[in-house]
Amino acid sequence: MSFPVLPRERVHEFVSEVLIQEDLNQSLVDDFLDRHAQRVPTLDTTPAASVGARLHAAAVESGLTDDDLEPVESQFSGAVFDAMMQLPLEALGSVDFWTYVSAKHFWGFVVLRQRNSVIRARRKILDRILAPTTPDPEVTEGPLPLERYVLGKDHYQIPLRLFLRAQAVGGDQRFLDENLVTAAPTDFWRSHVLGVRTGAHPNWARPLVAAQADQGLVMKAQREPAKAINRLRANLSPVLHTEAEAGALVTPLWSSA
Amino acid sequence: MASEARQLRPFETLDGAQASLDELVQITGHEPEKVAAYAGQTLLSEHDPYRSGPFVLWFGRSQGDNQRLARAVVDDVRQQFDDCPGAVRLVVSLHNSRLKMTDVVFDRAITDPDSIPLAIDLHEIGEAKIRPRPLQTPGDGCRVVVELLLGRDLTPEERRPLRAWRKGSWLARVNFAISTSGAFSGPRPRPLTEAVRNEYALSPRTVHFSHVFASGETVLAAEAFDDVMNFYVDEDLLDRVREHPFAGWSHRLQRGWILNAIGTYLLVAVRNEFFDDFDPTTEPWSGSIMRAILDKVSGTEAVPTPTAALTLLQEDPGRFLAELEDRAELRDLEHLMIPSNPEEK
Repeated sequence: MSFPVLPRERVHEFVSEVLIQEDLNQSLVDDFLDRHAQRVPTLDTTPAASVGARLHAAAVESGLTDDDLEPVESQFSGAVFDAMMQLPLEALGSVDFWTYVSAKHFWGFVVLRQRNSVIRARRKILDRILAPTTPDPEVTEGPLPLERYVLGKDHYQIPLRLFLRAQAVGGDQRFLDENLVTAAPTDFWRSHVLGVRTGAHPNWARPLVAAQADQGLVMKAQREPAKAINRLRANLSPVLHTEAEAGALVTPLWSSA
Repeated sequence: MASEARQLRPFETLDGAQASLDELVQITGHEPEKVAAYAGQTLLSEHDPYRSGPFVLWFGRSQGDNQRLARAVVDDVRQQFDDCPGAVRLVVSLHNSRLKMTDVVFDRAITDPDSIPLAIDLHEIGEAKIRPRPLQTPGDGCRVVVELLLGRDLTPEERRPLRAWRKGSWLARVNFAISTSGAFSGPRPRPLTEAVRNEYALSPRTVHFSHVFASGETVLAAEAFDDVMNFYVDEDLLDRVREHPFAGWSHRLQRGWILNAIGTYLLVAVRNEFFDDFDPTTEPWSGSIMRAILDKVSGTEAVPTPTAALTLLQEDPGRFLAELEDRAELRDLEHLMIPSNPEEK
């Protein structure tokens, strides 16, 4: 089975080339992918294209950017999960496939959701052009700020993190809507659900999300309860617990006391 | 990599069972007679067999070994949980860590030696014989976890000091990986070419060069050296070693490379702004390369745990590196260069 991929070595070039333009339109992205993505027409990615377009439209309509778009991200997680699950697992298991999907179908949302990174990346690109021989490694080396939101390697990437958010609660959009995390949501999801093993176990993640929706701990206050849960789980394997059993362990720990 | 039993645990674990699992459990793929992986190792697979071929978990590769293992496990369980019949379970789960997918493929109470099968087909789950999701993702590979767990909370009457009582408490555990990409636990030597020398302004006499490009929390949480650093070795030298991977001189050189690369990584890690927060026993650090290095150095009477190894690193880095040199194995370098030998354990 073959599917389109954007090799990870191309991500730096992709971001550098597309962001240098003033107008971030999709044709720049398509032009780059025409030249550099390995596209085999056997896999139809229409489900991803469709949800990517709806997500972008919702973001534009909201008039918001960056972390203010968090509720939109929450609202569309289930749809992204459903769309991606229509595709073969073999494709989902490829970092380079997710990278392609992010560039091709989610670019519009990526640049709004990470607008700050776009600005910082552009500044860095310009610095590199203007001072190509500067000895400052901050300027000359390393990835650009936007790259990790495109590269399908981990839960920072935009479509993958929406997918993982829904999957962490069992693909249940209604649960996400009813338990909307409003206090430090980006950090909460990244550091305490998707970045740790909790995200692989809906029976653990659901009570934790519900507790945060209820308690609304600010970022600093999340740290100690998170440590307590991680310490507890160092000795517990999460595979056998029911949601109620995991909740009985997690919920009392998730407070600012 | 060391087994997780070296962690300091708040309750008594099944150490006899752990030792037997470490020694006798293996996984095999489509060439079971040729290639096997033991606890802590990676089984390499080609792309197509990964998504459609068999994977088998063996509890001993012969009836004799299976009986020896089953007896050791059951004796250990009976000795510690005699009055809690059926509380300890053997559970096997498969994980895709990037996609956060977990499938439990086996779950059975340990009551007598017959509870431990000779082999489990990892490539199917349940009556419908569905292929587990992590075995449909060759790009990501898969982690296989074999655990002895408490399957329920012990009742107040069953609880004792130092006896685990919470459901899910793991009493023994071994891990394997299955990968199509030549996964390795150590730094991958890349050729130090003229272009690399020019890029980093290196002198012609430089033989190795480690470039740590990661910063911030990634340095301490990364699960692969490739995510943190590039390690270069003079291209001619690298070619010669690849031609003679098993020669004595080649082994000595490779051990030196491991120390060189890991030493550079450690220098950067201890100066990292998040180093004070680092705790090898909790997430997101418990699966990190930093933790793997600490595991390597721990497990002795003087340095029993990864946490003790961390203290040693801070207080006596020279001694830490000496211990590391003592434990460094060739399989810590790239698997592609040093084929793993199923006979070696």
